[in-house]
Amino acid sequence: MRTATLYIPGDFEDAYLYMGWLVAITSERSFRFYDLDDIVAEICKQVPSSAYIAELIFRHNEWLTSAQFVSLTRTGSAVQEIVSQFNLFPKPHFQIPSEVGFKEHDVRIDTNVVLDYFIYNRQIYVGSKGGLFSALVDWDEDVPSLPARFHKRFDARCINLTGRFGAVVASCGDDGLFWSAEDAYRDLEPENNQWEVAEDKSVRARWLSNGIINYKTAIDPNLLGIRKTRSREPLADDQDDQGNLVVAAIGEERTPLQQLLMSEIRSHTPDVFDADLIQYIFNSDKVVFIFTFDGHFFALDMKARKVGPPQLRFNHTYKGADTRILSAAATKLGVVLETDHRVWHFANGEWTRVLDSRAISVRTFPNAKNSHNIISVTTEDGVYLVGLFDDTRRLVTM
Amino acid sequence: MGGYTVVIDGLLFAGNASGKTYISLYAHRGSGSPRYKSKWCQAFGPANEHALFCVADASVWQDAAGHFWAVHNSGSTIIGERGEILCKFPANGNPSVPWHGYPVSPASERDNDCPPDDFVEGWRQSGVVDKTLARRIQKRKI
Repeated sequence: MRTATLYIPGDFEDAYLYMGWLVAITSERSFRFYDLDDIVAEICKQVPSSAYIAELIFRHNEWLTSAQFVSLTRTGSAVQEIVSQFNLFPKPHFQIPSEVGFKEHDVRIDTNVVLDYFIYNRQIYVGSKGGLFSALVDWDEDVPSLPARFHKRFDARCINLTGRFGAVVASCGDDGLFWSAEDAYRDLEPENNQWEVAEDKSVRARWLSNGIINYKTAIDPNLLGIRKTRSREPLADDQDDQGNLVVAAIGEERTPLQQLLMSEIRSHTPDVFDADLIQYIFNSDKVVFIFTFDGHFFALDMKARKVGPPQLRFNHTYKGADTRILSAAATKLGVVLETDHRVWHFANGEWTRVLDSRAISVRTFPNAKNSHNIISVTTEDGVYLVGLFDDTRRLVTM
Repeated sequence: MGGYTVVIDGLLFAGNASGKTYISLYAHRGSGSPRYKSKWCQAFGPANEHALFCVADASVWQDAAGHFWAVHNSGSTIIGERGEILCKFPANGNPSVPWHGYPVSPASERDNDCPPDDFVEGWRQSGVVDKTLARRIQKRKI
């Protein structure tokens, strides 16, 4: 795996990539919009030898997964050429100079603790101790503009957010898992909020290709079925070959997964697996990962079915990191793991060090058009954007 | 901090500077009780546990509900056998009953075994924990 890293110094809480913009929340809870085009232009100006990688990774990341690019990089010599370009990129990172401008929106949110942050369907969502806030952003202007204030959507403490198929799903600890069909969200008046509770407890939720897994604790996942319907109008995100399908219901069917996962693993690795030592469970669209305190991790392919328990297939056992997993997120090429002191990427048994620093927030954007293989890491020193390139050309989408 | 007396449930420490007695419960150590999954790690012995309680008491690391919370060495020391770095000493309204405590992991517990956000924010502002650890606690990552 090859990486190229950009670094933006500053005092931030979190950072998100959306529609060619890096949108960072400062510790004062203002929003800074950095245009990736400006950043790439600055790299090209300062380090012309890095122009190729800057364009490929940070402006046209979608090229990496295009059929043409995959075809052109089938030969070892083609891959070697790209690797040699990576070697020209500044190490350990290119620091974005202060001359690169940004637009700052001083739209304060009525909270002093930002717990999660999410941009979906043109809206910015902020989960906080005081509830969930959202604002509709006008992305069509030269510089995106925010309304004068964020709207409070509900009061429950919101620690994790995710969205797909027109729905936003909010994990609110002991208050439960909330969801709302945001495609139908026409105005921002509080009385029109339609939030439903899908489960009574949630610390996070992650989508499968046809379902969503709610984690009641770090190690207690339930698979919730989703029912979809056709949207009245196109979604800003999630344009896929299924058309504009949106969520109509979540959790009409639910399957506790812990015992199913345990028995599947035990049947393949009875000597290695100790269920009492499970530390963290996480899923991507197709794979469930289970990490243990004694440094193992197990991968199971999983497919939700329309009716009945999911289809599970033991995939692999790996030697894991000798440290706790604090968070995990999927990229097109594997998974990114936040541990106590650094951030790792893992794919096909290979660990790649993404950042030697303690993270406040780690984000990936596997379903975003222009940032499939970019990781955003927010630390106390600033924001790092890490672009990935699979120089083995053997990895499959996870 | 004084010495301790062996009692049926654990090691009972005499009153500290503010007069609070403390018991290091067997239930939260070693094979302990199956009811309690959180246990102090072996390297962090009963004397350390009691000393940490006294630090929390002297520093008034107490939330509005009366619970004390603590970290050791700004959270860089593992105190629980599952890698926990944070502990809770549940509110005790009866002075004749000794205080006790146990490691907690906000990632695995119910909300009432996690310190309140404002309390953690106070810790951050007074330098007990840094911003990264404060956010990790508040986001239920550890």
